[in-house]
Amino acid sequence: MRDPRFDPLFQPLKIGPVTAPNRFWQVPHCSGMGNLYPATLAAMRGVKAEGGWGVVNSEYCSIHPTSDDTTAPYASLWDEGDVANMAAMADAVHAHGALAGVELWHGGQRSGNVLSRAAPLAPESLLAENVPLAKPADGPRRYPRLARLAPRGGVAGARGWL
Amino acid sequence: MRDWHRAAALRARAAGFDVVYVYAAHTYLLSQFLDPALNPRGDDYGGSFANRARLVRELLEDTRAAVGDRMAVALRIEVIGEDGAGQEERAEFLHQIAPLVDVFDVTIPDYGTEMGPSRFVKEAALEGHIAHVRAATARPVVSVGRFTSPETMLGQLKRGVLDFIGAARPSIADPFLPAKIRDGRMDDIRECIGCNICYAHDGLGAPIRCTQNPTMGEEWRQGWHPEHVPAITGRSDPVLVVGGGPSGLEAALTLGRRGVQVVLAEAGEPGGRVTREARLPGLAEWARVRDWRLHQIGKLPNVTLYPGSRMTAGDVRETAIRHVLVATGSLWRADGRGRSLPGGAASFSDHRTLTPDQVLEGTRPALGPVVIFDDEGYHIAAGLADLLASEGREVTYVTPAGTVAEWASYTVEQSRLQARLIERGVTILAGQTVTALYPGTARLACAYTGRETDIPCAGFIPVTSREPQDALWLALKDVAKDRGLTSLHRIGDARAPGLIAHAVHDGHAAARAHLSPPTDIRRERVILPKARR
Repeated sequence: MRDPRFDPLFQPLKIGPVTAPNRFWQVPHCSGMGNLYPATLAAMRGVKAEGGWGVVNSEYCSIHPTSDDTTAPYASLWDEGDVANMAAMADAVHAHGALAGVELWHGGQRSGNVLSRAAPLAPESLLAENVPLAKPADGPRRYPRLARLAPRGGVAGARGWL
Repeated sequence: MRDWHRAAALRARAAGFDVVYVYAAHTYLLSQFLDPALNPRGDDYGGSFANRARLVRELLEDTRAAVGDRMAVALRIEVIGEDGAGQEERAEFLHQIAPLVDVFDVTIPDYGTEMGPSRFVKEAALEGHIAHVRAATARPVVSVGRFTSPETMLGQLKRGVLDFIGAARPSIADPFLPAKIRDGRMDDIRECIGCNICYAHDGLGAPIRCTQNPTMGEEWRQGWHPEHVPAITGRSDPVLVVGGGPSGLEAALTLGRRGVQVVLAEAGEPGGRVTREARLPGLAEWARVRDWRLHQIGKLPNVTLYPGSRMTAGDVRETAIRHVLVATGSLWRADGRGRSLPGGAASFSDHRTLTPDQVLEGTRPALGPVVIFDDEGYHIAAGLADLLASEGREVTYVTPAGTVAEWASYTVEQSRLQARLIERGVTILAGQTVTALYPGTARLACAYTGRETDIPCAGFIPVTSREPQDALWLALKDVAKDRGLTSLHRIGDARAPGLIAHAVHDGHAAARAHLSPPTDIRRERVILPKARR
């Protein structure tokens, strides 16, 4: 058994109307799975819950087709089909007594909307991602502001959060 | 926007979620509103901080009203602005909106720190930035810090920094980290090494994977569990694993956990390439790949490690073991073969040439200018340039790519590696290929025009590609039946040199496949209903 000194890590904590069973919080993080591989996602998050994470969150989960991160893998809750697929994740997490969380996301001008073909949204009109000149690499800060906009940009415009 | 967000929150509730985030970080829409440089609006949503934060407040109010009775409302937000300033302003804002928030998930805009690779960033790196939030908000706070030490986690709670230990990468490397602390099995925690291979694959558009945890991403596809492997029951002949690098160690451990008698023969000291690469500046944590496996193997009486045991085909026969896994790794080529020079360069066969493996084993180039030719693009060449420059050597780094360590942009290491080489005074020649060595010089060709130049070269390290060291496998394969072998496989880099993550995964897969019926790897994709074909 564990040293009782570590008991504080296992004290439940009420957050709003729900109670987290312990202090281990899997923050929202990208999985490369998202809405393309919902069963893969549900199984992976379920194993986290089985392993004792008291709160298990989704990755960034788009609220609307104006926030479409294609070609990067992302979750979505646009319609009833998405509800069914995301429910698989919530169920897999609940099966082990953990809380399931979802990170509602709108990318604004970080979303190029390559698949949805919606006009990117932002506080004002600026270059969006995945259009010419707007895909700065994680390298020279030729466009310092845009480069900061894509701090996890890669040579292929890699984005996401882990 | 408010309607869309509210509707999505309702769908999240319908899907059964318990916690819903309002996401005002990581340069996405709400961050764009908060950032004065990106938000010059003259209406109620621009100008003062309160105006720029109006949408955040409204979405919190909307979300609370829509689902707050059933779901906890979390706010993910940075505690400073994009320019690194404005902490007091933001702390005041967090204080004001605290009644709308059930838990604060806080971070900073510097992604290179938040998602920092172990090469540059160590555990609990955000504490100094976010420690004030709990007092400012009187709400539960979560934040990350690549926490792998239970003592560090406990300290975060006891000192009132955090209420929840946030984790992404440590939960990927060990999904059972909390259970192991709960059960007092601290030494079983498989610690994240901070290589960011998980993130790299998300960036590549593929499901995440993990150097330390070969089951990550395989839970559904292959039915792999991070803690359980099927036991082999009944007859179980011993298995000989030749080579104690990442693949051999993982194979031996996993076979051992399946109940098999395992003999692990290692030519030198265990660790293989992991031991060498962990000697590069900042990469000490990568040795966890070796150390965790050695520790776990040490708990298994049925696995015996024999260091200093180089095996020939005759030695294998003498063991009389009928199942053999050859995990003899790979070595960097000295002949320049790689993407730029598929046939290599004869003149690289020169006394000035050293391979990365030789340098990492302690050999140093002759005095004078060192030329490192990075035709691979991940981190080895840049790491060697950093290492040799730190020892006072004059180093020229040559790559046909546009930047230093181009592939390392996927692991959030590229930009800082380039900065490091610049700061160390390394001469960086991008868009150039080393095509030949001449007395005292190396010949370069421009990757675009072919124009040639010569630069001084007293020592040369080609980082181009690696060659499988599979001679033992070839020797055994030719006469496998004569030698009475029941099974013979090569695994890891001996089969196909790749990432450490590839080698670990291959070793794990081979151990699971041993004496198991073939299983289908499931594919997740849309299958059209018949009527629509």
